[in-house]
Amino acid sequence: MYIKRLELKNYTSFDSLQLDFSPNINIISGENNIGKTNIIKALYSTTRTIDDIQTENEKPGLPPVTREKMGEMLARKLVGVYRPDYVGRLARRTTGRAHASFRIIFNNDNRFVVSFDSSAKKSVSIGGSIQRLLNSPLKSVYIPPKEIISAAENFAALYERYHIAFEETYYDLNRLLLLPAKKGPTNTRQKKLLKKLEMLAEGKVVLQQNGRFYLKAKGIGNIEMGLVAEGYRKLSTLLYLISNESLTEHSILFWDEPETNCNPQMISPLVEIMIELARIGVQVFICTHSYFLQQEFSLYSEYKAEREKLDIKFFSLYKQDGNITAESGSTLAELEHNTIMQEFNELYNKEQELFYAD
Amino acid sequence: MQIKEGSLLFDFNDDVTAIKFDEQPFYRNKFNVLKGARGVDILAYNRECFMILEVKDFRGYEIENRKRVTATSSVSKGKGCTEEPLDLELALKVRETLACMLAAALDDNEEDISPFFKPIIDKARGRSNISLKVLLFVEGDIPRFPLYSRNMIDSIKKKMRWLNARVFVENIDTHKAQHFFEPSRVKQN
Repeated sequence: MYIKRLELKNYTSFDSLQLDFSPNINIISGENNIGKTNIIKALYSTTRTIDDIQTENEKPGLPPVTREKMGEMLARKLVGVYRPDYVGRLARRTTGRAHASFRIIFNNDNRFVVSFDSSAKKSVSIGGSIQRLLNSPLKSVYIPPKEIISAAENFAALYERYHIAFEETYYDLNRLLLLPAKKGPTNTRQKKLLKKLEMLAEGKVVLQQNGRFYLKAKGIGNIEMGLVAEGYRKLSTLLYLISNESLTEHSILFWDEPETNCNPQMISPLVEIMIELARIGVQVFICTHSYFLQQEFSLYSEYKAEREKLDIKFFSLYKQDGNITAESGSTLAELEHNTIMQEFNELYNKEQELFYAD
Repeated sequence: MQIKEGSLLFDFNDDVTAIKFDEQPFYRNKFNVLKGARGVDILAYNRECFMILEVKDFRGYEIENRKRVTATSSVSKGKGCTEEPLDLELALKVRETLACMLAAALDDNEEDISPFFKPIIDKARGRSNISLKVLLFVEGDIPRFPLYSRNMIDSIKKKMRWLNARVFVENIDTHKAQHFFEPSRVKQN
């Protein structure tokens, strides 16, 4: 299952916005505070809740989750992921009571509609083709900007026991990381991808009995994740999520700023891996400020994507007449508003002024 | 003052004195007979600035010159590029140009190039605050020009650590009208 379209109305900083996504790779850019992360968090919170309800419904002896409970579960997830005081705070700030809604349209025209008032405290209204959605295979994975694999052994327990001010995305990722790895790759594509990742990470990722992750490097042995460079921790995270089949066909991966704390040299392999993931059927959403990441994907899109039957879509969010709007294209050149390139041009202009100054 | 270089016309501001360096008799008849000698296209100065200007016009010939446009020493290294990288070419031309200017100044009969040596020697002796600028003007359809120029500027600076000069790369589209000269394209007969 993949996400085809998102429609937002009075949600967070958006007045009204519609985005049509690629089933393969979506790259979202825009200046700070424009709402890139808000978009992928709306998609993640919903798909993750569907994923959780599917797991809940699989438990033997329990009645299926009611629609009312689903509304409460989603409200809790939205609060955990965005960390507002209560869910109604996610409605666009206006004078008086505001009504917010978003609609996610999946392939096969399945829909999930969410709506709530600015006064909503613990629940949101949900509608759409819920039952059909609950019967479709779906896994939702969110990788936040900072890595968590080096603190995996006690983060989940701490999060569950104490009130710590971390976005729930970290907790969710941590929980996925603690799922055991499968004995071996289940298909050739997965095998190829794992091999490539192991080559890039220069080792295998192992989860020990003590709940700690290690990078098992040839000839060196186990290296604690905390001693491995952050770029490698990101690769290790992906490696393990593939090994334990959190990232597999029908998974949707949301990755907020993959470039954070990464050497630019690491960007090219990360892009390669995201392309491989899309090839095995993972729908990928990326928010980025990285020039290199944008360009790597754009080059792929210009020269290879069509032949390899992958669809890459670039989105740029920008302000127009006080409202946030978006444009999209299959290459960067198609975008009129590209904050990263604009910044490059600014830098060029600045240097030119300095060159000509007395 | 106007100087035509290929199909490009450089219209210098009123206070600027400029010459087409590589067409001066001293350069052509004396300096350039030495094997390996070379020189930049234009020298220009006013009270604040001394500019060494090299023009590369690839417009309409971008495909044939693909390697040459993008070649910097680091990009072409190890990629079998037989062309001389632009950063190296410019640095060598600047070196030769300065040597030729000194020689012209030492020649009692030379009157074209030697006046251009004075602002430089004044700066060297601390008698003026004029700034020395090296500008590479690259015309042609070059994608992502600001990024291209960033890479080229850094490469040229690396090759020109020996000279205390500012370095920049621009073209007609990125040049700003109020800056020293106005470039334009002229029709070829």
